[in-house]
Amino acid sequence: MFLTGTLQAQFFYFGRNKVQYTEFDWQVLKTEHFDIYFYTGMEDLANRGAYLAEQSYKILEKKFNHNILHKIPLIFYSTPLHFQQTNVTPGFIPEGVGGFFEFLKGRVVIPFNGSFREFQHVIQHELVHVFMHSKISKVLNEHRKISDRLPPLWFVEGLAEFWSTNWDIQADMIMRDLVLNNNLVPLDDIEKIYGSYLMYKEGQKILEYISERYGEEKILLLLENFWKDDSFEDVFKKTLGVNYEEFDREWVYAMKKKYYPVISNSDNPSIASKVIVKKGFNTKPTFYKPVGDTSKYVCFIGNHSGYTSLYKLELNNEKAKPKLLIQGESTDEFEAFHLFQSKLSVSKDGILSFITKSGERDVIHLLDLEKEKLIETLKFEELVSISSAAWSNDGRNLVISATGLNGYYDLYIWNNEKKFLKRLTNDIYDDRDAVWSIDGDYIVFSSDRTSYGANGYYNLFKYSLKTNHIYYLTFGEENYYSPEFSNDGKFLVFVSDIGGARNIWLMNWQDSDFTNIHRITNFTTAAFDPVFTDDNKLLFTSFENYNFTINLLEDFENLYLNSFEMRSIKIDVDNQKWTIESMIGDSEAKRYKYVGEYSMDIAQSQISTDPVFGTSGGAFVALSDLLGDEQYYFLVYNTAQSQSEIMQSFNFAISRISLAKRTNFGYGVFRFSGRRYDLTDPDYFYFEKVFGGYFVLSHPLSKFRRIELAASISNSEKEIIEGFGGRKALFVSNSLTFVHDNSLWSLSGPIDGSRFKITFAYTTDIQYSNANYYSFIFDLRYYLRLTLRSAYAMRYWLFYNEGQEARRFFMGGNWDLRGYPRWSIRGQKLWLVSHELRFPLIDEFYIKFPFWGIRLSGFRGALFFDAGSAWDKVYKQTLGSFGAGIRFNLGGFLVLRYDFGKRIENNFSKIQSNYFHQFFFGWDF
Amino acid sequence: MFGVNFTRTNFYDSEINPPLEKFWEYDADAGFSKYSACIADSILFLPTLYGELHLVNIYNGKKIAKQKFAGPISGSIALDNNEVCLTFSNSDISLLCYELIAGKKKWDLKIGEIETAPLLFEKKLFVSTLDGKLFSIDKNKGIVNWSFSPENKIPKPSYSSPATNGQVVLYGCDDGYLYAVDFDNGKLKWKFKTNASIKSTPSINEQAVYFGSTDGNFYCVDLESGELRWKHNFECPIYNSQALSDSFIYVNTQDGFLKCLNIDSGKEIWKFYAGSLLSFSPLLIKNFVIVGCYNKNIYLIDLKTGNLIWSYQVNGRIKSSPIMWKKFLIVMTDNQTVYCFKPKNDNP
Repeated sequence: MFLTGTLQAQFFYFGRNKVQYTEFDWQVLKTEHFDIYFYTGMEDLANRGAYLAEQSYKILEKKFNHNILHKIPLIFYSTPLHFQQTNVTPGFIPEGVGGFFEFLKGRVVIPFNGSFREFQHVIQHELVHVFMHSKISKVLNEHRKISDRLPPLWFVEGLAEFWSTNWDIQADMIMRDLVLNNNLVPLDDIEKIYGSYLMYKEGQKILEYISERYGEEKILLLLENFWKDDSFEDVFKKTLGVNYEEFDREWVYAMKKKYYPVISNSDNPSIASKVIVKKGFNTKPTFYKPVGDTSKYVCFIGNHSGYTSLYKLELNNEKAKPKLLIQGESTDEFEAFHLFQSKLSVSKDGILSFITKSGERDVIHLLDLEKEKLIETLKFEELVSISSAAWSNDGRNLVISATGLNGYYDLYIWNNEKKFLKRLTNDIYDDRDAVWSIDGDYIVFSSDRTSYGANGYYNLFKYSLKTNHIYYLTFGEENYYSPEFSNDGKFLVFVSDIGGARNIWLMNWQDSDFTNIHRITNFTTAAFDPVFTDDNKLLFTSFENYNFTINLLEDFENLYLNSFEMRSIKIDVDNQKWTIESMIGDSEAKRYKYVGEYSMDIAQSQISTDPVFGTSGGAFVALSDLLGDEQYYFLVYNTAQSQSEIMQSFNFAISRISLAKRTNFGYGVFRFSGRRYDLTDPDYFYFEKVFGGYFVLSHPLSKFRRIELAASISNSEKEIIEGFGGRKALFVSNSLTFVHDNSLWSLSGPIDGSRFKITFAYTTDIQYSNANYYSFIFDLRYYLRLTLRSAYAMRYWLFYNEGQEARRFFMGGNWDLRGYPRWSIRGQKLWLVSHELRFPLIDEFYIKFPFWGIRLSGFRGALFFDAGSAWDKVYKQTLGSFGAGIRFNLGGFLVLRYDFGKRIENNFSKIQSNYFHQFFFGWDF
Repeated sequence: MFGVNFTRTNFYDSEINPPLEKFWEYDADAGFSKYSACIADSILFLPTLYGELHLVNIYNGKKIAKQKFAGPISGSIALDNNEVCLTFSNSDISLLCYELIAGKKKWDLKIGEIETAPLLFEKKLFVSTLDGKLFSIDKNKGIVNWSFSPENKIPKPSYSSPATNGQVVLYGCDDGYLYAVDFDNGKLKWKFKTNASIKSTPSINEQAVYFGSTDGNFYCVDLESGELRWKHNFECPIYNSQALSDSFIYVNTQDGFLKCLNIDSGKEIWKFYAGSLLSFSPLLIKNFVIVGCYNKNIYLIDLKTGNLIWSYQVNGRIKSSPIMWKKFLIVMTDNQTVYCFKPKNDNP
């Protein structure tokens, strides 16, 4: 953060970029209990969201028997793509995150994904966190205890789910799958699934069970008793009368009792159909048969290696393996596939349409499947997120489900010949999964526009392209998704959760009244996205054993004739549309333009003593605005060792960082004064006073590449301690850097992709001419993936400083040239080559003692070879080492590493006789 | 004591004339339970969740004394001459009698955690415990006269403080029952079932007992027979206790209303919306109903019409029941502060 005229601040700095593609014009809507932040274009959504938030507040106030005295900041985004740009959290937001509560400033950040029911669920889920946090804090304070802890995550997230949504079909699918596959994790062991979606759902189910068995007020009592013990299990025991082990006995038994009988009436998808893609997560299959060819293929989106990508598999070849067509998440063009969302479609000419995020918005790519070549990418300025695109039978049009700034998913038709986009629907309903009828007269889609939609139910509709009217196809308090037509237009297939599990249903499209639907599967878990092949079969995604596979169902016509269930659809023609109330006109709601609202992030003071540098004390304060776009840092400390030194040893730094726009910048001023030992200089201690200013700029070209500019001016006065000499200089330093990073990380470091950094810099003393040097840094790292968990990693360094008072680079130790003392190799020029084989070593071991046990997992191994050197004017010798290492990831934030091996010395002519051993921490390069 | 008297009617036989003004405030440096404090002889006895008992001069808000005890006083206290009885939870001792002048413990008992308000009547102390039991204790000697235990396989806690008319002692339990137990021998006289836990403290008049249940109903049950007289559905769980006059019942509901019901029929007469959750019980005086609210306001409501007469915003949520003594209104907030109000321009 604080440049001092050297380049060390960037020395090991890579990372992907969180790109603020969109400049948001922020507004604030103030309601009774909330300050709601939203941007121009989504006013209607914000007003309705405000209403939902106030409703949720009333519900939770009663449930928690508690209220929130301050206004809760709610930050809405109209699409997940905008949400991923938020600066409220500095980290990346993965696909599928529905929202979060940031407890430092109490901010709740939520994207809209098209469904109001889901929007309410997420709003209420995050508000549960707000209420819980406040309640726990109050309970502890009242008993004069420090509020430094929260309940365990299973409870926190489980309660957020339990008190924000009903136990739905999807949740039941997860639990059924867990129990039937003996994967249910007891409460006593729930840390094993820490942070996962499974933990959310198990937590929710546990709380539902507590509510039914012990009474819902016991849940509130768990919070109100939180002060009674530091151990939540003891609080649990004091409140419910049972500890975790005793609770598990009854709860696990209750789950088995509930779900085991399912097996007697239904089958696992892997038993009732053929699994054709098993490895990894796989969704959205689509069938392809080249014209005039007997081969048949399925294309699908899958994640087999850590990157969600597009695959193709030959169907009539038992030995065939999925072939990677397009790798996602490593290039600008295919920045992200939306694994569970984006539909695939193949035209009659063999052109596959698929959707990825590319820059600011989603785009539709057209891929020639025969040539396996991308032919076009369709970008729509008015559309931000696209959930599906399906070809018409004549291959000329695509029907698209997409949203613009307002967040509402509507239907559009893209005429690919005339390059014209036509809007079909324009309302608040969530219209999805649109497909063309074979004759081109209708578009069938799934939507929440019946009155059941208010409770989150999706039914099927058909849009007549002749009359522009929408007609019901299904009607009920169930869900219907993913319609698809058979090649002959006779059947419409879709999935529905009628009866409590998602199964595949067929409708005879040639029946004039479309009232009868037939269930042709009877799965224990679930089916998604069925599509027809050309030979009486269906491809679909199935969920089983916490895996998503592509399956093949044979002879669907026979299954239709002998279906498990037939149902008649009765459509209530008088049924009214539903709507979500809005806060417009409510006297409590007032709207303002957002002006930066600043508050403190951190305020910390510290005193430290060092045997070499003595004692120093100071304070650090960080401020930022509510949206996290503008940040200010203040540092002040003093290193005086006696009273007379106080003034001269005064240090401060003030910085401003702006992240609001795509190009981030920062600037600041500083004054530092004190004793130093600088590795980059010859070995001496000195006292230095330096003051100046700096400016940095970072422009992301994409998520994976950026350019950085830095400039600083600093006045430096150096005095050597216990020696003679000193130096004054007025440094001006400039640097230009290009960074690329698309690496994929595993437990101990990168395992795929590459990282690259190149820097040019120039530093000069413009007043005294005491320094004048150029710098060049080249850092390339490449990771060749061998298997899912192993890779061959390469690193190439060339660091070059040339000129007067050029700084030295340094290396040595676990982090670079292994086998040599840390930072012992120094020079104005430096090169290093590292080659390393990374592989899993021990997945898990468990040592059980009489009264407790310890479980450790995720040990990784390495075999390495390093070579390098450093020199000032004259090249000295080439050094090297080889050996093996073990890495262990501790808690996800620290990697412990142990290396042993032998040095190669004396210009590679001698191998060290003994072994070296080095133990430290740090991620793999 | 909590509830003002042993029948827990929350009726204080006095008047107060608004507007009121803040007289003093006192920082107790710890939170308070939902029960009210006690006042006697111009001394406010203030128990805290940190386990301290503060003695504060009503006339000036200054601390007279403070004593730390074994554990948090999650229930309330009972005063008798110069002795105070305190109840504790999460502590080795559950009940303690303390001599104020001598400054020492008179006796203590370990009978299970207590998070309710003790009831003192004719030198007998009645407490309900988190094991669901009811105890009668000789207040002078500190020995158990009798105990009553519901017939539950797994004990269910009681968060409902006992009330009595001198013949029967009534309390609620998390098993959903209201128990009527003989005052002298602890034998069960009758029990009345509701559909969920009873957290509120019952109130008694000559004919009936009145209480709310978390099943959402407010009940009037015949005192003699234990038969239902009427019930009124509030459509949300009732955690709070009520105030009783001769003709009306005043109930704080979970959805932020103070409701007035006819005592004979249970019909709603009026309701007042406070805007947020309300304090554990309203306080009834001759001319007003006084309620505290989680939105930091204290309200004086007209008994007959339900109209707001006066309100004041303090600095914290008002969860504990307000109390009165002479002309002084005491309000305890969750920011650990006690406020004392008096009629404006009235010199104490």
